[in-house]
Amino acid sequence: MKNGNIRLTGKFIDKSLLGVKVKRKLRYRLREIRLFGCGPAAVRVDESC
Amino acid sequence: MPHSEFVHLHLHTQYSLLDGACRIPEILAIAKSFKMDSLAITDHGNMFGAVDFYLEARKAGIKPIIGCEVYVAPQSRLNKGGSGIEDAANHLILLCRDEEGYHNLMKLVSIGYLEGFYYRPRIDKEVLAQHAKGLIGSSACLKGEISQLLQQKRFNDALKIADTYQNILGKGNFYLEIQPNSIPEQKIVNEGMLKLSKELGIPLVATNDVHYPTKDKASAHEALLCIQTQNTLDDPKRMRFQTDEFYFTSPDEMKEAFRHCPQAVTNTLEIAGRCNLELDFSQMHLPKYIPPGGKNKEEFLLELCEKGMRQRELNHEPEIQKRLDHELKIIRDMGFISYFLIVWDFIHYAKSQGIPVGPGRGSAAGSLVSFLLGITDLNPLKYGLLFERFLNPERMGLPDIDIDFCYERRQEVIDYVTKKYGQENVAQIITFGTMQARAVVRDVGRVMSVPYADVDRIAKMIPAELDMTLKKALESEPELNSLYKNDPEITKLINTAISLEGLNRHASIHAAGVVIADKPLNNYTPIFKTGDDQITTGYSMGILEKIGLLKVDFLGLRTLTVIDETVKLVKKTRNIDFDIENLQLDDANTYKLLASSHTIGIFQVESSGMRDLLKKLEPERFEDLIALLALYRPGPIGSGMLDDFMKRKHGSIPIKYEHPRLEPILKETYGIMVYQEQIMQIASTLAGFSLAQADILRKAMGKKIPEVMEKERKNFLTGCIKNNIKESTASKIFDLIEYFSGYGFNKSHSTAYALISYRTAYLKANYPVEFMTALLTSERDNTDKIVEYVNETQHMGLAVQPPDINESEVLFKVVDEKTIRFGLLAIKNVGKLAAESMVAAREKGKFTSLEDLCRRVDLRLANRKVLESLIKCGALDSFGAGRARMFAGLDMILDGAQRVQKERSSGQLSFFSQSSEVNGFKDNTNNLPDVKEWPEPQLLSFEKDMLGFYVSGHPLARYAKQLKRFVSCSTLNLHEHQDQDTIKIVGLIAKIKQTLTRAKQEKMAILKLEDLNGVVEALVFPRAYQKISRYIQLNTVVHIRGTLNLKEDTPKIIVEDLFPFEEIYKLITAMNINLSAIRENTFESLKGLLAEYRGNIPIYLHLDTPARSRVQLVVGQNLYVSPSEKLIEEIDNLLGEERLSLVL
Repeated sequence: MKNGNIRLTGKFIDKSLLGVKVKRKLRYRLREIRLFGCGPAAVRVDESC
Repeated sequence: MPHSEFVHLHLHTQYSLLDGACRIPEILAIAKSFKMDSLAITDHGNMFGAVDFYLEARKAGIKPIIGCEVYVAPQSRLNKGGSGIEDAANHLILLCRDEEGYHNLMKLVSIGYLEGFYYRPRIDKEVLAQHAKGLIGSSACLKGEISQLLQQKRFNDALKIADTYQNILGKGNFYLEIQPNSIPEQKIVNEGMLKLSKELGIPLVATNDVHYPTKDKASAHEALLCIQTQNTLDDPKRMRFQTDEFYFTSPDEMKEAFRHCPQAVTNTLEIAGRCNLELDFSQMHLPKYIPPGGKNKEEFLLELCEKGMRQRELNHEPEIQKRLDHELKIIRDMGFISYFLIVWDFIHYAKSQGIPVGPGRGSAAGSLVSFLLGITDLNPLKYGLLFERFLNPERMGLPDIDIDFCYERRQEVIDYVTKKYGQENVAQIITFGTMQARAVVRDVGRVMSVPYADVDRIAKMIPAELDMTLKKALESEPELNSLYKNDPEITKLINTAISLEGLNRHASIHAAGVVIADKPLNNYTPIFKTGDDQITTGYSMGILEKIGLLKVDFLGLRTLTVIDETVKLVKKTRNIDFDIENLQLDDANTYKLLASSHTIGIFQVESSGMRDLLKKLEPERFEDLIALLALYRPGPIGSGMLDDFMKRKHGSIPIKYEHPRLEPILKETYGIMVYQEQIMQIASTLAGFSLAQADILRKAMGKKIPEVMEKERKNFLTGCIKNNIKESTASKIFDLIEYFSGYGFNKSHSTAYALISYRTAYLKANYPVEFMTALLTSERDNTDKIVEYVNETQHMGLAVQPPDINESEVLFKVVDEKTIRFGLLAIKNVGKLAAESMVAAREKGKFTSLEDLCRRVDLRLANRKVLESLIKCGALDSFGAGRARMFAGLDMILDGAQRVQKERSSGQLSFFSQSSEVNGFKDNTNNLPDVKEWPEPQLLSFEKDMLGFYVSGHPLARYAKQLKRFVSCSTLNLHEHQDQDTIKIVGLIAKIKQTLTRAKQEKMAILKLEDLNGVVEALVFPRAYQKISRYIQLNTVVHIRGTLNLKEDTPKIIVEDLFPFEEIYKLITAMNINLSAIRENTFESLKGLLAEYRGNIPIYLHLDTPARSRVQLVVGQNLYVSPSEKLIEEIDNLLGEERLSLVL
């Protein structure tokens, strides 16, 4: 993790481990995460695109 | 030099088809090594090889004795009963003493085929007696009549028969044969013959019934016999020679074998001394042409030329007059006036009957007289075509005139010629199929019981090139060579194949040649009858020419039929009349079409290689087209000449001439010597050769004999120097000539054929619908071609409507300028008479139902099979009853209709009383059984069976939308991938070939995979085969994952995995849904949808965040799905297409 970004590791990570900045980036999507019942290891963020 | 004390008088060459394994030059060489001064040829029942043998033997300094081992019927030749081949005939050797004997032998051999054929061409003693003069006979092998009687211990009968033969042939002209082989029966026969000889005073003669050149070839000969009898070598019951001794034994061996009877050996010399046949090759036997109105032939020819001048609108310009006088003088001097008149006569007949005739072919297009007589349609002066290339006063022999006629009416012209010159004076010509490298490997492989897959693999290792031989293939193909060296079975296979390679395999009719003589042909050549009773000459083309007979090639050319038909259609549909023979050769549309390379259906330029070339070359004028046809051959392509030509045309290489005087000759081909005519012109213009000498130079160049070349070079240089050309320049030019002459092409032929190409291109470019209609009609019997041309028609933006009983004609028809209707005749199982009868019946009104159709057509012609085919292909869809129902009810309807037709023909019913009530019919479709329509795949499969392609859809079409999610390519763009790429493709299995691998005999399969764009071959090797063989079924749509192989001409797929497309959804491991920029209120609906299709495949959602990052979520397990076509469709409906991607 660097400057709050998440490197694309190809692995899904537990959303509870997300840093504050990432969480901020994802805040618009927390609703979807909840809606689709995504489990603990369910998010992958690709910063490169 | 002392000669041997024995010569062979009983010998079978390779013309004893699939029985003799002696090649003529090979046995002559052996004979020479044994110092034999004479040798006989005695093939079984025929004289096919006689003249060839005569000429070759003379060349080798050996006296040829022409003979034949004839078959003699036990009773009359006309009596064709009996218990089969074994009792059909006995053998007898006949040798020609002189010309009379030769003529008699030809007559006897001809009678054998024409009158006595029963398993074998048989004569009998009656005809032998009529034609015995000039012949010497001997009692032949164990199958001889006397030998047979001796074997049956019927000595007195043998005595009688021997006496009969002696009486027929004359005392001293009949001999008793003894042979040295170790077959037990032969011993009995030899002893019997000796006894007979003593009792009757008939001399003995020693022979060895030679069938192969050396003893070690006996096993190859066994294989040859098996090829003939379609047996295998390991079959204990097969026909076989019981010994390996029927080879070309040496005089010493013969003397040793018959020490007890030396006279039999020396008698061979005595017989040879009495046989002194001289064949005369100096005479021509042209039929006599009698001009009308008592004119003499020369006057008549001049008159025709004059008439031609007017018709061709040529004035008596000095250049033309000079050429005409020149040609006429040569024709007169060489005695060919009759020849030109004969050719003129039948072409004139063809044209007067509306039979399309080609504009020319071969070197005849170089003659102005031919042009004026209408034999050709090209003015040779306009294209620089030379008369001497056609008829050279310094080269004797009849020139070749080959003529193309309409494919369908060629026979009418042959019939005319036959009638005019007499049935017995005209015949088609025999030709021999030989065992070529690949075929002989297959034949020998089969008789040796080598597994098919192995034989196939070896055969395919032999390059498919012209003049390929097994020896050449062993040199050029390391893989083949290594197998040959390391696998003993393959060594044996190939060695045997080499022994038999090039031997004649069968006799058939030459595709085009017809011979016309002044007297019945059996005066000049034996006559042969093929298995299907067609009568031909018993000598092949080359021999007939040598003995001075006129041979004309009547070729059938489909394109002429297409051109003629198109012109008629244009007249019918557009009321436009135009003269196809006098087209201007500068039509812009035509060149645009040629340069666009959309030339499918255009004469000579429809192959894919040619189309590529057209694109690159962009022909702009007729001369470019002529050059293109001349250059598209392996020689010019391989040597880079073609590339050079294109670069010069497009200006990327400058054009330069070694001497300014070359420019006018070579300008049209951008400085390259493309044509033989150019070489002749260079020799004539620069070195002062006459055109006749230049033609000799051209021929010499082709043969490349060093001494001749050196002489010609000297002449050329001397001539050039006289014309003030520097020696160094002249020498350079000669080098160029030498180089190019290997590739030079006959411009006369190229020009004539380019004209046909131009005409078809003109029609396609300007009258596309009429042209394609005519083209489809011409190929109506060839489903593959129909499919190709229907595709092409559609690519051209035209529609091809499927067959319809109420709309289609017999042939394809033009509906309007954008539409063609399929013809009934192109439907499988529908014959010409059936189609015609249906169209004729329709004249009284359209058919309204299946019953109506069955009652009104002649059911003997349009029978059950025809009607079934009509239903299956959809031609009866307009009745509205459904194909499955009509099919199920057909029997019932046919029964009723047949009854009605019977009643009508017996007068119980008037033709016009068709009221359905009268016949107990109810004329409505409700009568048909109530069955469900065939499922779509069945409907489509029937269409494909009947028409060759799908009409109402393609089995893949219903998957078209889904396809793109599952494939990485289609057959169309395989070439855009790299060799060895992994690809995914979906297609229909259109053909399956199961086979075994060579090494381990494991099962594998070769599939023809068809998708919406084309076909590709897919190979399933054993490992994959084991896994997926259960899915390999014909006509199923499958998904294939595999490796692409682009090493060969056509791409291939090496299959790794294969799965029925119906079950493709089972292969899905995950689904990705892109939700970027999707309105959030849709998410709820998506969740609901996923919940409906609960399963165990995860869904990955892709979302954007405002910070331009992309987020991927995996849905909770309670939203995992079971993928199906329906789910995918619903997701598409909800979110729009291209939101969903699948992971396989």
